[in-house]
Amino acid sequence: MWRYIIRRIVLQGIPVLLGFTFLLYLIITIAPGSPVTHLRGVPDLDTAVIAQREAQLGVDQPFLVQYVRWLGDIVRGDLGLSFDSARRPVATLIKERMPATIILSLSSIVLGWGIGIPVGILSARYQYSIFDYVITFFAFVGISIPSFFFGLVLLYVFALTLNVLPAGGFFMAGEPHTFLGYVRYLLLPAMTLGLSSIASVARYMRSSLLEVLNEDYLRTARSKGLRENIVIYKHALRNALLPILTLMGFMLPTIFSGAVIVENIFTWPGLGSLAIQALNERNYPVIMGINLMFAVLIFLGSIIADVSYAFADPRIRYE
Amino acid sequence: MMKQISQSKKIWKRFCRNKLAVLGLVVLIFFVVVSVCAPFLTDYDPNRSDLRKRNQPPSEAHLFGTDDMGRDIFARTLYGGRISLSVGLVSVGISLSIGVVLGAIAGFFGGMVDTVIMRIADVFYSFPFMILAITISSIFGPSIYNTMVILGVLSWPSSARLLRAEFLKLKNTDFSLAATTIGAGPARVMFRHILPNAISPLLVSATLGVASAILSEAGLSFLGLGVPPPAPSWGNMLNRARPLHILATMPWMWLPPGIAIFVIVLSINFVGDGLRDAFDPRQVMD
Amino acid sequence: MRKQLVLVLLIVLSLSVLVAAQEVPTQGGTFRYGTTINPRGMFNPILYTEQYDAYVIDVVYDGLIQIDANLQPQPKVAKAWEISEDGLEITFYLHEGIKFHDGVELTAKDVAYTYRTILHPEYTGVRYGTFNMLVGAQEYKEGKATDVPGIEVIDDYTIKFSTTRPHAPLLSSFGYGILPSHLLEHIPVGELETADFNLHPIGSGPFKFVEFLTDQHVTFEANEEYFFGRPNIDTLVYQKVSQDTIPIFLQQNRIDFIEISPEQYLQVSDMNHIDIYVYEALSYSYIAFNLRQERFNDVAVRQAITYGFDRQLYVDVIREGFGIVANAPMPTASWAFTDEGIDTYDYDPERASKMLAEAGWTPGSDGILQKNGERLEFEFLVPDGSRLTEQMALLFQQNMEDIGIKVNLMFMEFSAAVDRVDAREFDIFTMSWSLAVDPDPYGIWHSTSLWNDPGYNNPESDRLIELGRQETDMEKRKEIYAEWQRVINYDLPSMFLNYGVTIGAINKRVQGIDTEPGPYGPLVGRQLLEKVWLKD
Repeated sequence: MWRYIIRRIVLQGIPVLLGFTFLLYLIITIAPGSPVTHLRGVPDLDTAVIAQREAQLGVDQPFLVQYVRWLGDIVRGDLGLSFDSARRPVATLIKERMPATIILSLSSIVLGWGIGIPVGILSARYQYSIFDYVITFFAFVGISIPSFFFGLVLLYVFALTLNVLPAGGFFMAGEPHTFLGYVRYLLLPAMTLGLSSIASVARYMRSSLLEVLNEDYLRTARSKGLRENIVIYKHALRNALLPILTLMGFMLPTIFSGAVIVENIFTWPGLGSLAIQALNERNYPVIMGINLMFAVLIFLGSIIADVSYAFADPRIRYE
Repeated sequence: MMKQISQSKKIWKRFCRNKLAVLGLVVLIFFVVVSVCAPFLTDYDPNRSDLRKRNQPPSEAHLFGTDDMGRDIFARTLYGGRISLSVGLVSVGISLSIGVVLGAIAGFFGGMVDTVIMRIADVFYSFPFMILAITISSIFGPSIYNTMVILGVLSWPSSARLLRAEFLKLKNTDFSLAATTIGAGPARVMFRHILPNAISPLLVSATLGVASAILSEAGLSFLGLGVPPPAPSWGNMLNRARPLHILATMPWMWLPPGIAIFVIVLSINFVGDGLRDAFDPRQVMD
Repeated sequence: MRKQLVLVLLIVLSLSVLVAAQEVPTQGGTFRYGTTINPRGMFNPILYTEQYDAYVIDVVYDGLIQIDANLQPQPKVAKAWEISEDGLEITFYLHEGIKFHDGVELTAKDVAYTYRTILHPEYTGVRYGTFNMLVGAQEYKEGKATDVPGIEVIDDYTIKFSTTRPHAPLLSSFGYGILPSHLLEHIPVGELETADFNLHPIGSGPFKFVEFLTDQHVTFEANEEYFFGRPNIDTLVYQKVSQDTIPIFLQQNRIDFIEISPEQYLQVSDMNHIDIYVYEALSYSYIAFNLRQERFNDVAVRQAITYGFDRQLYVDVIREGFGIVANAPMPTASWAFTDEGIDTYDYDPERASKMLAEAGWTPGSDGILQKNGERLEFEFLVPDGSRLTEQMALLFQQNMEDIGIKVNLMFMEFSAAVDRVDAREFDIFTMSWSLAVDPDPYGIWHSTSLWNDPGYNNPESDRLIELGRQETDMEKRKEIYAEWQRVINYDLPSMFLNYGVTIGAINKRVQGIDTEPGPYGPLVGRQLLEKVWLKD
């Protein structure tokens, strides 16, 4: 199995990451706008400063030189210094914001799986009942509402009208970081981000379980007289859960993209807002750093999904 | 030929049995008709602002009220539908064109060609959509056309993968081997024999792709990167309602576009799901 | 007689008790200052560029002078100063006994270090241009000299700056926070940028830096040993609040002061525990014409377009009255502002049409004006980010359509828009300038300036600008700038839209504020934070 993982990393991961970072760097350097734009507001600015600054940041070099230099740093584990006036290490900036985004993503995944799987199972168990139709309907609703609209609705209802939850942000200065506090600030953003997860997981769980329930070998188990519940929970579930695991790999990119918008609406201090700010300022090292991180996470996620698939299903073996 | 006709009829019958799918189709057709007939349904110019009539709640004169620039919201919702629908359709068209061609090439030729194309697909796939969209709309400025291109270009991997899978499935069957023996050239084999079988999953994927594109366009416009003002799009109409005081006190500004997006995407999803069930031979419950 | 005396004494006593009871500040409490953008972490007065880093620097450091609510320099670290007759020398006399937060005394050596570092060849900041007229600055910068004769430490509490030519704006520039040389002089100047000091600043200001959590808040505690008296409040917090949620934070009493937008005014003015102050800002917004294009090089066209845009409606309706229609690039908040001889270009579409017709523009077959085969159609570059600007652009487009001019709106992300402007690839664009304390318009309007985006080249304007910078007598300067404003007002290289107006919301429990605020607001920037107290 390790051979499989290594092969995948070398043959698939590395070239993809290389191609991806190359393309991304190219795009951001081609884009009009430069990291020194903010110098415009400085009174009495000596114009030599602009050229000086560009040389210091390395952006006066052609794209390929910049990219190779960045790549060289990455290989040595150095994400570089931010282009803004504070010149802080990109790694530090990312580290500061990452916990917030991870908490948010994890919560939405927990919600998605925690609610989606049981709902999907029940839906399959009681197929064609009222419960099933209602659940199916809500699942569709869940994947059809634009997340930002849903977020606005939640804000409107819970923060503005009922005033039971904060309208975004994170703990204020001096506010104790209690568990309850985390829940309060996290609830609305996590629900917004998790909505489509809950819906898709529920639907996939339902259809996957239904598919398995109709398999021949299960008919055999049933004909042996085993109770319906045991049939479902022991034999079918294990097989039905497998496709859901691969689903995780597919859903990670969606969650990360969605996190950007959700963080924006709820001013959640995560990587999303850092990314948008970095884009606006043409802060190349930060843009590359965040994207690289996401790409690596997504790639790792898909490997993990495939490998756990193999673990769970003895029929599948990778050379 | 006879076999194909009865096949389509069977699929249609199965589709009609799914009540939600039929409902979705009806709603979808309704939206399309309404969008096309927009100029006949309203006299107001969706772009013409009249500052003296800002922020007015729904009334006889303005069915859905006016927005912060004094424009009629009902008109903007109608015309916005045109834009959202066309962005959805065109971007899926672009995505399919690229995806089908690349997927077919990858699937048919296999080997190195396949690997390279799939790696490129992976690269596009890992691209954080929002970031690329933001970057491109900075280069070329936000516009309807750029939005269509961005959405189309970023989603070709899924249709490519689908096509490729179809090809892999059928490539080594006796069917295509037989065709090649007869003397059919590769292109002919591809188009005449393999492609028609790929249509069903492709159609489902395309339908859901339109829904996804509409949602993405709304998201982009919501961030100010999609369709630029003054042209109305459901997404940028929602953008105008972001300030909390508008959210709280002027729901007529965001409920129409929000509900419209939701209903259309919902309908498309019902239809897509219905198509999937209708095409799936395993779901034989007749 | 004695009875009357006792009565008078009693009255005086009770009055003074009353007065004293009102004015004795209470100690303690936490002041929560709201900001919509988080600081970067460059808390170094000579290296920062971002506004919100300046907020932190404002309370952690003190400078030689401080600009007061009337935009005049006041003593701070320097208790007094002298300017020589010829205007070429400024001598500052420092207070004795001012201490940095680590207990070390602040002397002229630290002042010299602060300013000399700006002139150093390896200095990575952007402030050189403000001080390059100091004697010997250029040679020092080029590495040809090892010291700057223009910065002379006379003794521990006296320092003299000399310039090569009289430069009126210079005095106002001496507000930069004084750095502790004993903590920094061993660091090579080129590496100051990445020093840890910048994230953990030590100054001599009223508040000591405590903690910085990016994107959340910055906390400070009162400097017990502050030379000018310990601040009344115990803790100061800069709290990040998202623009949209400001009214909620104010409502829930979680913020003591924050600037709000015109759209939020109504909602906030309803709150009983919040006071609102509206004050004129030192900024103006404009629509710049690209004078390199022939059609815009005609002053009649520029004036006609200005007559054809209803700027008053823009201010009254779109800005909800928060703004002042501008006709020259000197805001009302500036001491150099004048409205004498200034044409107000009141909205008059008929006059606009007439002027355009006289300039040779006639309606074409599609209704759009044209001249010699060229249509009067152009692109309006609008950087995104402000709902109000967007609405202004839409109104402008409509107004122009009414007089036969076709305007195509190009909304663009800010950085990309600046790129286009820098490359001079624009027809017209809109932006705003935030101005420094000194009204010198050289950086924006001189024909040789990089920021002169329209490409305005008028020898008369240049002459007045140059004259104004050298004139040290304020009354004479005022006259020069008045003359200059009239020139610009006629030429209209840009159409001026409005002067900025700031709306500050402050919790009623904050006492000791400036109730008739100048451009820096009821807290005079961040200055009054060291004096205000909280009444709960």
